[in-house]
Amino acid sequence: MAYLSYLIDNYVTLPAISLFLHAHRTSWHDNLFGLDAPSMLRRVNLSRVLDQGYTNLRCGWAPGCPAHIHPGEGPFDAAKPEQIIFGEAWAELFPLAEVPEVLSQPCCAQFAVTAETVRRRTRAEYVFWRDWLLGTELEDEVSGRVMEYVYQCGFSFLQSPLVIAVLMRKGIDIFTGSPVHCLSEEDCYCSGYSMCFDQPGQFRTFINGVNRWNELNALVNDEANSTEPMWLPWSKS
Amino acid sequence: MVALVEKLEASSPPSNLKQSDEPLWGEASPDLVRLVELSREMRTLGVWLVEQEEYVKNKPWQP
Repeated sequence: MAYLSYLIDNYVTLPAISLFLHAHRTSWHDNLFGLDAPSMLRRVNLSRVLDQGYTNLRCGWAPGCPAHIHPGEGPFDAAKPEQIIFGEAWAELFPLAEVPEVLSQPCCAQFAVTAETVRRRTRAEYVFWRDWLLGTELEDEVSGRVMEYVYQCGFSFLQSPLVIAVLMRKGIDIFTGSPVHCLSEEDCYCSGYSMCFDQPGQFRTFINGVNRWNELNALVNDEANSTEPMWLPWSKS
Repeated sequence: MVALVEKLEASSPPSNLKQSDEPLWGEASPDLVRLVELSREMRTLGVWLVEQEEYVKNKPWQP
């Protein structure tokens, strides 16, 4: 809702790149650099954002990739409550496009997008999507999840919903229109954050360390009855 | 809590306790001891992670 309102209110005067994040400083959503959003933001490769037009800020695949949402597939899955209603929601959001067989991108609805990419859609379309959010009878946590998995589509599709529908019916993957947006974690760190490892296994060792740090943080928080990390390794760099 | 954990982390560990640190650890509960151990591991690993980033970013081939 806040994202769409920002796009609607600032449609004409958007900066070259807009970054959309949650309001909290630390979260498991920002699991790249010690759960710390500012540390992540300082490292975003803005040249890549300009080049790609849309970049998911998260590299980790869980949850969200490689094949996450199968619209309409039952039975109800509490881990992805949006899945079972996704087909209907999609039809309301993108009336002219066929429902994709699967939608995937790293979770959590945090991304960078260029003004040019945003403006591939008309302001009226963002208003239309926001009206859907306001009017749907879905619970907020479910409608929010629907939006989480359509941003890559909304920003990536070509301008005309009709063109999109035709291309999708022909099975043409138009990156720019792919409902699946799952860059390998290693490529994401390299191209998205300029952390490129050259030796085989070096990245896996690093990411295992990141994951272990995240586990330790959860254990420490649990022991200390805290919700904030006791300290952040990257906060001063 | 954070200050106490940091103080304990900076002292000698229970497994190799110096006499001067005994009062500090004397009343530490098992839960606190575990918290300090976890925090110490977390800090050590955090330093290593930051070093890894510096290492890859300072390589000449870095794009």
